[in-house]
Amino acid sequence: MCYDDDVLSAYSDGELDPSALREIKAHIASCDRCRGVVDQYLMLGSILEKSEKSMHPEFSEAEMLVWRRVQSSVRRRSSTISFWRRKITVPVPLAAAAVCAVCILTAALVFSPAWFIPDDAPAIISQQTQAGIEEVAFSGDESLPELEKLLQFLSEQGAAIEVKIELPGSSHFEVIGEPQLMKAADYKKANTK
Amino acid sequence: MKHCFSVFLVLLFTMAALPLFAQDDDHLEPELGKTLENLKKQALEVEIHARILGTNQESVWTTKTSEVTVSGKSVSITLEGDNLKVVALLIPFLNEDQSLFLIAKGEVWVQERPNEEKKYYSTVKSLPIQAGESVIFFPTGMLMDSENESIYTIELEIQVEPLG
Repeated sequence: MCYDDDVLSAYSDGELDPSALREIKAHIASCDRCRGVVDQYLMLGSILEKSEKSMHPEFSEAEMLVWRRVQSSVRRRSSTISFWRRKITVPVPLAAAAVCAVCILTAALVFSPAWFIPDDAPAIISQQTQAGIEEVAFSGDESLPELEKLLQFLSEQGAAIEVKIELPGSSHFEVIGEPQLMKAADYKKANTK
Repeated sequence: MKHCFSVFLVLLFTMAALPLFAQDDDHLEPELGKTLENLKKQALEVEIHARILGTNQESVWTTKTSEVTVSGKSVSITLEGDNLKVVALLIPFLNEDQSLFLIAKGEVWVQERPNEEKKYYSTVKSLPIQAGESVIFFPTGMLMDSENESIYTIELEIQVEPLG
């Protein structure tokens, strides 16, 4: 029984396992038809191999060139260039303008009027208390007691001004009559009468 | 090039913003001063002499306190004794002609006898006054005759003056 052409093609390419190879080899030795098919395949293979090497050397060279270019472009894209190593081309007028701007900015900061405030000038000190009330106080030469009292009042804003006075314990009080509000002068007059 | 231009722009904007900040600082200081000045015009100093008058209307106990407030804001005085609690609420008002008007609200809780219930009295009195003029408030009433001279009375002498 003869083998299929595909099997014989695989045999000629050496793609079969050793036991199948031995079997087919024994068959070919006794079968003219199969030996002829195998010879044709072997001849075709050798022709193709020769033509690949001799007929298209330019193609393989071009292929290599294309691959090299693709590889180099990929490498260029993937490589990370440091920010500080980047080459920046700055036109001279622009660079001069930038330098001027930096100089003016520095001068503005150094000669700012805030630097010229005398040490003895009163300054407002603001402090956040535990109760969340902002305490404002003047430091420096501040000799206005009225203003200090006023600021103290401001600091106590939000809470009612409350004064608690403990009366002497031994005293026994009674409500004598309706509460009265009168001028001290009128009260004195009424008492002298 | 693009990077450099953006740096230049940032610098330019920073410089442009500097005078704005300076203007803010200059603007705030007079505002604060003006507010304080206006508040000072409305500020009042309330001086309170609390006295207990005993036999022959003589002062047996006295205390003095001074508080700063603004027109229309109350000063609360709480007097606490063994059988009595007095809360006097003093509200001074400063008129445009610099004259003053005083409102005094008195609340009294008193237990006159040990087994009696506590009594509560409340009243509101008002009086036009002049700056520095003495006003007397009697939260538990005023002793008019000399028959009960053994009874203690509470007297609050109040003086209101514009601050400064």
